[in-house]
Amino acid sequence: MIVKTVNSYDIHIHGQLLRVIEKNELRAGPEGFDVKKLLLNEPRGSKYMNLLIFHEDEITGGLTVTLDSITGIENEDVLLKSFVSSLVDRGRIEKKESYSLDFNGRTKKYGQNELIETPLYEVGLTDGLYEVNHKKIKLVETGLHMDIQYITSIKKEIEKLNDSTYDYLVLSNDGKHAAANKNNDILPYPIIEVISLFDRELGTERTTTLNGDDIKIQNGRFEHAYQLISNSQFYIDHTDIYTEGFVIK
Amino acid sequence: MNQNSKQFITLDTHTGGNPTRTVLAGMPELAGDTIQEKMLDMKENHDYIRKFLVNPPRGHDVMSGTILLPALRPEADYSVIFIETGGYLPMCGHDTIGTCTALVEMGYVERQEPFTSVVLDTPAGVVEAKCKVENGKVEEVTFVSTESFHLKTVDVLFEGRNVRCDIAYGGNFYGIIRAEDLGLSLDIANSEGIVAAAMELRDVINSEHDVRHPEYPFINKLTHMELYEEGEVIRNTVVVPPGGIDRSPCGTGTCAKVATLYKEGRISENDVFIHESITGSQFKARLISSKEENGITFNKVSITGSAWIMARHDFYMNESDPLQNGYLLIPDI
Repeated sequence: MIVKTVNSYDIHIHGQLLRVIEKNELRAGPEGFDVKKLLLNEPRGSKYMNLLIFHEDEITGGLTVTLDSITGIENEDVLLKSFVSSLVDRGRIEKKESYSLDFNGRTKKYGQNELIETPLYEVGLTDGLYEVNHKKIKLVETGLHMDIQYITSIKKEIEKLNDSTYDYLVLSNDGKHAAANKNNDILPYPIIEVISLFDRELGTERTTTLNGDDIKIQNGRFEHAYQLISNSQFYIDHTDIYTEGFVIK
Repeated sequence: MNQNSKQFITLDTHTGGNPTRTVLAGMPELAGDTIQEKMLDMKENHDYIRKFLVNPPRGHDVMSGTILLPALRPEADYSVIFIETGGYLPMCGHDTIGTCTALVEMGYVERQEPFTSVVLDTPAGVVEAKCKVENGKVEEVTFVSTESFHLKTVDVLFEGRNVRCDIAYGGNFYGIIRAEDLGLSLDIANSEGIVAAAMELRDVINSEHDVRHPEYPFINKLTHMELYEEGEVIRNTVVVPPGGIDRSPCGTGTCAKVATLYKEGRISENDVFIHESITGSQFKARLISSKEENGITFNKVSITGSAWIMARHDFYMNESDPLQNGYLLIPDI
């Protein structure tokens, strides 16, 4: 029997998935079930999932937010801004000049005009690695085709080049690129630090990510309007064999 | 917010961890008078809908589903098209269990206890599923799968190891291999290594051995790999094309396993065999009958498994979305 329902919605930003749930929805979960993990992990979630849970203070209207992911959080500010933008669009919060969030004990402030675009970061270079927004990037020009059809070769190259010195490895060829994190997880969507590197250091005006998205880099800004994927209602049946789901990469 | 776009309504279930996205609404009229013709029309003219529904970011590497259509045959409750990230299937065991569970629990077929029969018109033919129902909940679903058989046993040299592989058919050809022979253990933490080794070995076998269905010569390749570990209960993982791990014990893969066990004399008619997946879920298989034709033993096997409803989604397809077709980080086969 279904003993718990959870309302949520999913959005994506250039293919990066974000699931948004209000904290109250997680209350009163059935005993022995970890509702939060069930919404992040398979079979309800996946390795692609970024899970955002928020709470609005009834008196101050302040928003407290947490973000979880299986492979790590990339584009943190882009995800948070897109979340705020979606709340405004849904009429869940009022449109204002600026918005303030409590995120992991830090205060984040975003202006209304920043919600769908972000200025790119400055780029430094130390010991052969680029440094962007405190992230180290190793950039490699390669002869490999940056298409899904060649994904096996791309994965092998990523494993071969991993020397544990970087946060992101970027393989670039002919206007296309593939990015991976330090655990060799392929990040098929644009990473703002990588886009900053293409803009500031290489003067690139457009690049295609591994998921096929064509990214235009204009006026030193990264545009990131979100797309609504779905409005959803999740169910938990008390006889389900998975109490917290599972992770398969 | 782009909510004023094309909408698809789905009910999602999981069968032993493997997802099924049953599409209830949103499909255009498909051309054709039979489910086979409608599947072909979807493949040729509406494949973007499959990609939209199963590929990331809306789905994931092994997301699959059924397109639910009004019955095209008088004996059927519904006609269905099976979709997955790799394309289309004539029949799928875990999707049959998932969709029938959703149809019965949500009242799309008249619910009767203790058993409700659901008849699906599939591209592989009519499939009758027997759903065991208690207090409105479908406890398990049983259906008789397509005939399975053991084709041959081959030995191949792979990465310096001699690997023995049973090739058996259960709706697809399966290469059944002891995981230990590849130096692998069936742990979900090893999933990337399991997929890579299995796909590489499959290609080696296809290059060295002829794999051909005796009645349908167009089925002429080993497509699925099934790694297993012996034990009180046999654990398995099936690597499905284009390169993902089946989260369930795999219905058709279990039929192929039963055919192999029968050939080895380890199972008899009416015996029940329990197969466990890499995520801990189980299917029960029962060997109903066997018959020999032209040197091949064909087995009729029933599969029993359980599914759980996990979500209802309203998906929005918007033409302004450059990733409307999603993406898949697995190469085409």
